[in-house]
Amino acid sequence: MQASSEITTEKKPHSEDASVTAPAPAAAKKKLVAEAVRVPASRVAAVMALFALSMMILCEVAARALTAPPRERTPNVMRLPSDPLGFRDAPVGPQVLVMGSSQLYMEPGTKPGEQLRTDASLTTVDYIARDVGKASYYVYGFPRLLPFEMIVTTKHLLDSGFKPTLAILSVTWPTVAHDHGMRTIFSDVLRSPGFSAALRAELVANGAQPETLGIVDTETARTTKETEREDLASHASGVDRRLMRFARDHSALFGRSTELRERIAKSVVEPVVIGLAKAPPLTSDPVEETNLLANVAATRDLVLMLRKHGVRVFVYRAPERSDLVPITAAERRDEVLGKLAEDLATLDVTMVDGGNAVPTEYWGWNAQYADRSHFVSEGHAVLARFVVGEAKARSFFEPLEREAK
Amino acid sequence: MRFNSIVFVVFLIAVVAVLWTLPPRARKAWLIATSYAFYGTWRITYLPLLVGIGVLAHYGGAWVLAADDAQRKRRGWIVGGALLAVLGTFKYTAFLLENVNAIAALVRAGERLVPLPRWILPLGLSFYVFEAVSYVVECTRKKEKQYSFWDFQLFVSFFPHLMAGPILRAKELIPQFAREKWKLATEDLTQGLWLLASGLLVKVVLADGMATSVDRYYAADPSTFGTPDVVVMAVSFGLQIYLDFSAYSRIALGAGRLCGVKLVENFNYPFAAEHPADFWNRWHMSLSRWIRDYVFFPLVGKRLTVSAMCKASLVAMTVCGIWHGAGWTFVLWGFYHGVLVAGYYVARAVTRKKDEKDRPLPNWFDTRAGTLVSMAITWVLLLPGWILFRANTMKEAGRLLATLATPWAHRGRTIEGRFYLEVAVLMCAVWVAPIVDAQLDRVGKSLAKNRPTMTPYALASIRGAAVAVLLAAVAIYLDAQTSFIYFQF
Repeated sequence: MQASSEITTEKKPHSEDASVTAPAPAAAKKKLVAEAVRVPASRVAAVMALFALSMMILCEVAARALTAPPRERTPNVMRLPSDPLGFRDAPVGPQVLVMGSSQLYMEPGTKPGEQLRTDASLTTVDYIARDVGKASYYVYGFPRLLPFEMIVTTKHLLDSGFKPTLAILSVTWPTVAHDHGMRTIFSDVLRSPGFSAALRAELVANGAQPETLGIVDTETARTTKETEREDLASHASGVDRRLMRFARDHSALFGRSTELRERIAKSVVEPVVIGLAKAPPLTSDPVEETNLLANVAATRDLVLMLRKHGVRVFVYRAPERSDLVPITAAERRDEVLGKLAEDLATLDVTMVDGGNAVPTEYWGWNAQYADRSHFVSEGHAVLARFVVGEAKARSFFEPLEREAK
Repeated sequence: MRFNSIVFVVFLIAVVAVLWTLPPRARKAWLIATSYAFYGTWRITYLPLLVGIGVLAHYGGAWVLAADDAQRKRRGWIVGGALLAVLGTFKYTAFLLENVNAIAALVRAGERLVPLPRWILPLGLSFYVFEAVSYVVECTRKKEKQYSFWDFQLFVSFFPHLMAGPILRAKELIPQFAREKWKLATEDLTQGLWLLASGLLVKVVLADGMATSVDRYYAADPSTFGTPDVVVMAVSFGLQIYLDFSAYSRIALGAGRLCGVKLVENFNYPFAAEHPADFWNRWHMSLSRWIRDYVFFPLVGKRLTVSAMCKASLVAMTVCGIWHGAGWTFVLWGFYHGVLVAGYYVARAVTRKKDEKDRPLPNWFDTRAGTLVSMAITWVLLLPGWILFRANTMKEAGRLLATLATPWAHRGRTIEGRFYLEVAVLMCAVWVAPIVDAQLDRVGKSLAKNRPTMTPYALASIRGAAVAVLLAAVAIYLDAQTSFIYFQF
């Protein structure tokens, strides 16, 4: 209160002086202000729209420049869009479906400070496709992809006309041991008319585990409630999905949003949250028993679903970095995954342990931190050799070769 | 149609573009038609309900206004009661029947004594019924007048405030549609676009960004968390709902401004509240005003005693809780806030000395340090409330609150440290926001004063570019279809 009154008493005479000594500029200012007020809104709108449009174009150009264009891939390797509802034309000819976490498509930096890329140069699948090139490889990778999310995606793929001969699935221990739930991009699939009921019926017919059916019921109830409440299956939502798809196809801001978000997170969010607080990037992902059991059950039911569709299934445990202390306790890993492998063997499915398949020197950096989940292209080549070796030893690629002939 | 969707942006552009090219006499018809279309895209079968509420309140209001002083109150009760009965039927029948079934199960009278209704809560019903009731009550008090039928329908159905408020009064909105006043000013355009873009950004980037983690933790087994985890869960949900609902309100305000209409503000930095009553002056302000004018004040009457204020607070805030949702967690949440507000009145009566004219004298809490301490205490007191509001069941709420109340027995933590940091950074940003806002306001005023040569065109170009940057960020973060939390109320 005191401070403001001091300012007032100091300023008042000064402003009065100014008005006495320089009346002309003050009048000019008043005139300008009066003119400014009279400007029609339509012209202001036009100027605003012009600048907004220019800036949007600039942002779009920047987005294209910041995100590298899709790299040259092995011709018979196709990356499926992250939104399962975006799957379109069903392929023809021999197909291999590869599913797993972001390890399938991300590539870390080779030295500290380098960013994680969402579009790896040559991945495990590229190397496999080069070795066993008699089929089209469809890759679906999503960060920390959960088995139940894989079930929904697989069911949707099969319904859309995909007929893979072989499926290669990657199981990531920290995800299976800790995560649960279903991300919106997958629960959106459950909203499709009749999908949930058909999925449940198929799982029941396959003799699915109660844990998996429990997830189906919970997620269906949740999405149905949400859908009914907001009518997310309405015409408006359908139009919105189509508009979104169009935007993704034609704009880098929408279409390359995952990579842009990653860049923003690394260059803006991480320095603030982690740099300022001097905290490590991740503390721990402890084993959550309930989630672990549900995820193991869902993995088994995913494999069962594929087998019932006549698909051969090869499962490998995703490599983990061995030179860092694991963030998820490994004590239960061998016990749980060993039991799962035995169980899958009864379904004529091979599960191999690729946990240590990629040597330490091929793991990279994510900004200033050692990346725990991704490795560089040479690591992918090593993993591909491991997978192809194990799969060939068990004649997994023979049906493909027969089909190709 | 959700505000955070491309289809809404296209809809809004079309509505606004056509609105301002139409002759003034056709504008109301256009807005009514598009508002009905907006509601119809959600569920066409419930459109008659919206129209019905508008018709009932309009003719009901006229009936009340036509009555003499002796009859007016009675008629007000009849019309208001009818409107509330519609809300009660849709919103609370299932809740009541569930409780009947639960009691029946307890006394072994059968698992499902009464079948539950299969209807769903019409979107926005709680909001537009409260607006209609407000009109009828104001008519009873002779503070409202009779409006034309279509003006009133536009008041009830105007799409920016239809789904989740702000809860308006007829006299605030309808006069703005008067032909001679209803124009799109430059300020409406620039402010409208700014509010719209910034609201979308807050929703898509911040609120939805938090939602994944918050949902994940509240879905987990409550027994796995330690006291620090429960604290961060409470804080994170408080932040999420604030960001989500304030973003919705910004978009609503922005859409309104683009149609040349000013809606009332819903938030005023609630985390800077100095006491629980102040919190309700800053949080969901349009609802607080409704509760204050139509529940709290009538209950207090002319007796401004501490005891009357406390009783009225308890009832008013419980009503507020029930309005939010048909569930015991909401009832308890409302009651808890009632206790907080009542507690504040008692504390004020005890600690505040008064002068000879019965006016409260300043004390230590009026100093800067005192204000900060008050803010901190209020913030801490809100934490159990967030748990009650978000918990899925009473059992879950009970376990989380028990963990919160016994830190010595629950020292461990399960939630990753990174989430703690994110919540802390965001919380600090929300606390700093009023200071930044005040500074920006000062700079803006100083610019306007010292640089009048900065023409509206220069300002428009800067604002246009800023809006584009925000929309570009929205495009990057707009991913899946998510809803606003307050849509469920």
